[in-house]
Amino acid sequence: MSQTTAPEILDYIEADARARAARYAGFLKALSAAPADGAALWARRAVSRDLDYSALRKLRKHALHGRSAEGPRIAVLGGPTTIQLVEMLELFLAHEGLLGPVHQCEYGLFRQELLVPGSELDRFRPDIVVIATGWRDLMHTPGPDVSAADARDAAARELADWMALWSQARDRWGAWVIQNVFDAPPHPPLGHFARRHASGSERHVHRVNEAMADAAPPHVLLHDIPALIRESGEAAWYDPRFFVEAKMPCAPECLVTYAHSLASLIRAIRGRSRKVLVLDLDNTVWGGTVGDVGPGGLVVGQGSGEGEAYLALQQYAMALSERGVVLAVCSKNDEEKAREPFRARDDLALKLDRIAAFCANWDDKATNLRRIAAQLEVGLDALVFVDDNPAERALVRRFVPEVAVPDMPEDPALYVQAIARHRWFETAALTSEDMVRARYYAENARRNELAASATDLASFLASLQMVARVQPICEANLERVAQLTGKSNQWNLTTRRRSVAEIRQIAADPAWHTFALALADKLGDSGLIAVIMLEQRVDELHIDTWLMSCRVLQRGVEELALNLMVRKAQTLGCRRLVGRYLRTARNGMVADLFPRLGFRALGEAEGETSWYLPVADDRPRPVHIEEMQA
Amino acid sequence: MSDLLAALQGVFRSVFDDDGLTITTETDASSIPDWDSLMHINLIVAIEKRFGVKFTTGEIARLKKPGENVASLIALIETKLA
Repeated sequence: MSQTTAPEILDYIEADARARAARYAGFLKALSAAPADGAALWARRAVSRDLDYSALRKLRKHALHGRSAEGPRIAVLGGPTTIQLVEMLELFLAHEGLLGPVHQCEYGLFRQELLVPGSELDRFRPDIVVIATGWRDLMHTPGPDVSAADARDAAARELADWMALWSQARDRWGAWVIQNVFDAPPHPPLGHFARRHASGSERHVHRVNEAMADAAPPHVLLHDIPALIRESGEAAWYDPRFFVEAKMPCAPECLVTYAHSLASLIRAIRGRSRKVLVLDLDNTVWGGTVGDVGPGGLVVGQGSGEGEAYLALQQYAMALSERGVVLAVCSKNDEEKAREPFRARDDLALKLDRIAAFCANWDDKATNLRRIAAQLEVGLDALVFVDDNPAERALVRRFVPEVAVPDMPEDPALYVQAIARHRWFETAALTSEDMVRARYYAENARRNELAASATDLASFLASLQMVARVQPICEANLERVAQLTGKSNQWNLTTRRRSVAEIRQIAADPAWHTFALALADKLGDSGLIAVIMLEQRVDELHIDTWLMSCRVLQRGVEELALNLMVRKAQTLGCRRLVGRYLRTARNGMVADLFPRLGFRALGEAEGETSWYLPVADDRPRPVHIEEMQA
Repeated sequence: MSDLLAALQGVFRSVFDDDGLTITTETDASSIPDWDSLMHINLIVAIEKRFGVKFTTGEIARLKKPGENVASLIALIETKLA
């Protein structure tokens, strides 16, 4: 990658935003001189919400070269014009490797496009529909003189209209919907009184948003536009010149924020949100160097503004951990010294038992981040690395470019905002399993330590006392099944994405047979970890979908799952199991799964292989997992 | 070439992504094929940023009309900077 890369490009990519600005012209010049493929790669990496609208536009001619086959088909339907929004969105999608075909409708025609069969949108068949609306698109806004009851009716009618659009998207195309939360019109004529007056546009907007939040089905994601407006400032967002003159939804500069935010949701739908927050210690989670001043000398906790600022970062990390983001530490320190403050002080918010991987040594941080990813069994592109030291940030950006590295300001009071503004941890759903995921990873780290100490794998697996709960896909597990189906990339044989509605249909179809597997052991409950969808075709049982969570590799779950499938095939009187492997950029880890499990080759085509296993005389593979039919 | 014209030429080249683009005081919306209403907004955004000025809605609309050219743009920026 780097042998022909111009120094102007590398110097730009590894720098923080302030230094990057001065290097931008040189970077663009070097891009134009580079071969198109290479320029595309670097331009995509350079896409950042730190660039302004004009600077970002200049990346388009390089970054959009070659769309990704993995990119979802996205329709952006606006009340206001969406042309410039889509220009920005394409850049942020390209940055994520998720740029596929994008469709937008004519100004103000989104309802017709959604509702009329055979419309251009209908023919486009989107995977994701973005409803990029604002308060002007509300249809039932009551005047200030209607009764409270009528105002509530108006909100109910409003909700029904939008829900009808959402259903269209699901029923016609099985599409996800990203629906903008409505902004209240600025400058309410009633002023502060608008907040308590029973009717009027402001209360209407709030009622509609609340009703949407309560009623939105799992395939609908709400995009919090009011939060973006707060972040940008109302005066900056609503530069009214651009609406009256060009019907733009907000000021051009704010489109950067808007598009970046939309892309973060699309990334979440595709399971590309980051999963792990890796923290440096000295001057990142506390002030001072523990090796020099000892645990007692560190600046952290109540009593000083700076100490509270470091504490705020720790609290933020813990809050992320509560909702499923995994925490890790990567510090240049002696391991014992690095752990000491967590034991010696009781005023740290960050707790040692929530840190799933603790890497403190004197090796370079690129190497350590690779170790952390390996230990947690996630890709490097699942990591966010936070470090106060610009030299460490530059090194990581250069040598492990997959890792996201935010610029960190000098002032620790601004740390949380510096991380949060990148929206790396967005999620399309929150299941009870997300809430305890961080614990799984910490448990898994302990399992790995246990495995390292066990003399043989079998005795280790037996010692875990694993229990698998086996269910068909049903309402009880549907949401989690859909979530896993939507975002499993690595241990996934066919990477077929399906909406909740489609999965429900399959579960009800007598020709289909499904399994949802959950796993627990003595160290904890991993929850749902595998999804299997089988389709019977005469005397063959086809493995349409087989995906698993990477949390449970090397534990015998593959063998258990195969035993289940074989048993199902035998019960149905099928002759053989047929499986396919469809190659993607990310599922290399299962390329040889079928031969490894004893399948025989059936055929090979571009990007796929197919396999079969005769089931008549097949005997169950030995596993160390107790099976529980739920 | 005046400083303002030279600076504007940089902005035009950047917005229209054409390093060979040369503008004069006579240049108007009809002399640059890509100068449509979408690019006009992009041009306005870039000029506002470059010179730290703000155009009114009426000025934004007017600057693209026949009879207006880079000379009138420069005059307008000069008034705003004065």
